[in-house]
Amino acid sequence: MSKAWAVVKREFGETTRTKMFILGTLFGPILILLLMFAPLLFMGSSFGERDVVVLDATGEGLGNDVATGLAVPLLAGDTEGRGNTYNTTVQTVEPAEADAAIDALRDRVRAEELSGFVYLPHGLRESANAQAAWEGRSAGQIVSSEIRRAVQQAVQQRRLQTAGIDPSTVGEAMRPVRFESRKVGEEAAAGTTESLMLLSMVLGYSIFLVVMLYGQQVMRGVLEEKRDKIAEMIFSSMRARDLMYGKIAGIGGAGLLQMAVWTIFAGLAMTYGAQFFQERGQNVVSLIPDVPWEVGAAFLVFFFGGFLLYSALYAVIGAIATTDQEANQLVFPVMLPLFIGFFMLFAGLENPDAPVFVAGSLIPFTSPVTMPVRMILTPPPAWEVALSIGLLALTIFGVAWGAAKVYRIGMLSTGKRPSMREVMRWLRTA
Amino acid sequence: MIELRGVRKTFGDKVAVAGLDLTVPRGATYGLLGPNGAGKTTTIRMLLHIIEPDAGEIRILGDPAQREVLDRIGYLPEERGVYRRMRVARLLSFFAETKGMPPSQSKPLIHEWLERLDLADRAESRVQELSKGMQQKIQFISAILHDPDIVILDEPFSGLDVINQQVLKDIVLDLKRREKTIIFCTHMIEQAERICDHVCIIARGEKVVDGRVSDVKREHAGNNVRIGFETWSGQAVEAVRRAPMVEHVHEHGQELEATLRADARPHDLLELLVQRGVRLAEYRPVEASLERIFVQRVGATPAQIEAEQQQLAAAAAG
Repeated sequence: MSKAWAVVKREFGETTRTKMFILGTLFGPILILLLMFAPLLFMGSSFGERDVVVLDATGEGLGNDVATGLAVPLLAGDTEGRGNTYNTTVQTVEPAEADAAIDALRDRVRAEELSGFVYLPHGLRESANAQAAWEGRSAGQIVSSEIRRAVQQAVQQRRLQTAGIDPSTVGEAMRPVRFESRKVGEEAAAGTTESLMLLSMVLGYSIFLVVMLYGQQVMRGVLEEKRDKIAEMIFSSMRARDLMYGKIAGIGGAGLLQMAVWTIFAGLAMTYGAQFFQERGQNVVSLIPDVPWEVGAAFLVFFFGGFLLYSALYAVIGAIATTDQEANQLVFPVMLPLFIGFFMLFAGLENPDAPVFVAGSLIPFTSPVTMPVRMILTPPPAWEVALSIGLLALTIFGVAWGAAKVYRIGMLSTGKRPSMREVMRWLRTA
Repeated sequence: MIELRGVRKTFGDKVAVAGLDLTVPRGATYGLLGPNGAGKTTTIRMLLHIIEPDAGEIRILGDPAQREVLDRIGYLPEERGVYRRMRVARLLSFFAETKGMPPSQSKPLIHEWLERLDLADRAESRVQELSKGMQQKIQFISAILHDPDIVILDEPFSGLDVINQQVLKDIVLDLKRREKTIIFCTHMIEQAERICDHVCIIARGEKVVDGRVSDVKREHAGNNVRIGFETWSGQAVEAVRRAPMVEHVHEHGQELEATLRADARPHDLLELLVQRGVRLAEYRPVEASLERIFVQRVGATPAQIEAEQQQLAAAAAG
């Protein structure tokens, strides 16, 4: 036992001392934070002042209404009411002179005197074919949507007035109804659908990626011990399976440490991040879901379980392959179930109760990726989580037992890679 | 100390070790000799529980071999293996720990050994930064660092330059003085002859001869004489060949080695040659070398056996 412990210490030490590990552990969370908040930061920085001409050929003064609309900050979804600031000039033209005016305005845009211009054609209010247009220096998404909204609002209000309807009555009638969907019974993670889906993808993807990365590290380590003939030296002191288990536990411990650091960091970021942005006048509360702590714990349990399961398989590949290339060819069939689990996530995001997703969260080869995500989207009954963990544990024991046998023989064999039939024979030997 | 009784191991239909009996006395420097592929490494691996025998019994230090006894054995495998990216001191500390020696105990020993093998300034280097010879010395240290009672060295000198060979030989002799049991595995029979006091020669998975080196040589002393002529001539060689008491003759350039019939005395041939007027520069009875004994018993040189094994392997693979 103390010998396996020596291996655990060695693997953990050698893994955590690498630059890759240290950088990954420290900068991983920063990367996650950037992914979560960068869009907000960049969005904020893009607001500015724009000089805009409203070219009104409607002959009914719609240009002034648009200008008034643009004077009010309009950015969609920004509850703080921020947006671009528009300095608008309204220019009224006869429909016949519109083309010449447009050419002149285009020249001014090219000369950078203007950010752009809005063209309101004759018959915009009543004709279904008339089309308003925005032409600017750049085709920015936000500017274009703000202007479209101003134009649409102006035209719609004019239509209502023409029909003799008070626009404020309509506005009151069309006010959105507040609505929330909830699952009965369990305490679910709370947040907007988008934020929960984002979190689910981040979580599912990290488990998938980290299991694969650390599993591959086990494989490379095993292959090194076989190719560089280290195994024989160590087998003269301890059982082959102690070396294999020790290796997996040591590398897995390093992975678990990294994931724990990330999880704690993510927890802190969610708790204090919102505060941080709020103090700077940015309301991002809606983007940060409130996740029950069980999900964090399950995340670590399923990560470690998934790692143990797949790294035992990776160890077998390392033991039967003779070169890196051979090992890489063997990886795909072994990793297939993990990929399938990853793809099941998409079904789960569509409908968390989809049978394929529920089944995937119970099957040991896919549950490490799917169950934690399922726990966020719609909490399954506790017994299902327990069953999933139980099945995973049983499978880990079974796979580890078989892997140790193949590993022992594979590590000492030389020459050609063994056939599938030989590997099965190794499994049957004591 | 170490006893093997009827130990047998087959891989598929290939017999690697065919019912081997041998006894290694405590404190012996025991040569396990034979051509490559004779079953030496398989035998060692069975001693170390790396593989289990199909049949037979292995006793180490008096008991049917238990795993615990592995901590009292040091092993230098034929194919050298070290973690190339590890730092030297850490690697040695790890290997000592796998033999049950905690880092606190191994630390001072590691520095002592590195010093002794001229590697003190390399303790913090990565193994891959060292030369091949240095790496071999590191591995040699890892086999003896935990002060084992039994040291198994599989081809310890292969690939080493003369100076380093001598350094390691001195350490082996030092171990011998401290009455450690040393099993020395090699296909270089001549080399073993100079170091070992006991030998076991195996070929084709079977024991050819074993025992104390002096006894083996006495038993197989045969009747060999070395003959040098004043002037080398075909006639003189022919005279030796035709002598009735000579069984066969090996020519070595300027001298001959003649094997006499068991009932003949070296003196008889000398008299005969003098009578025939052959002018001799040298005439002396010689001890049988282990290599000669091997050839006598197996009917082929170690090199021939190796070639034969390789052919068999090629045929099996084809």
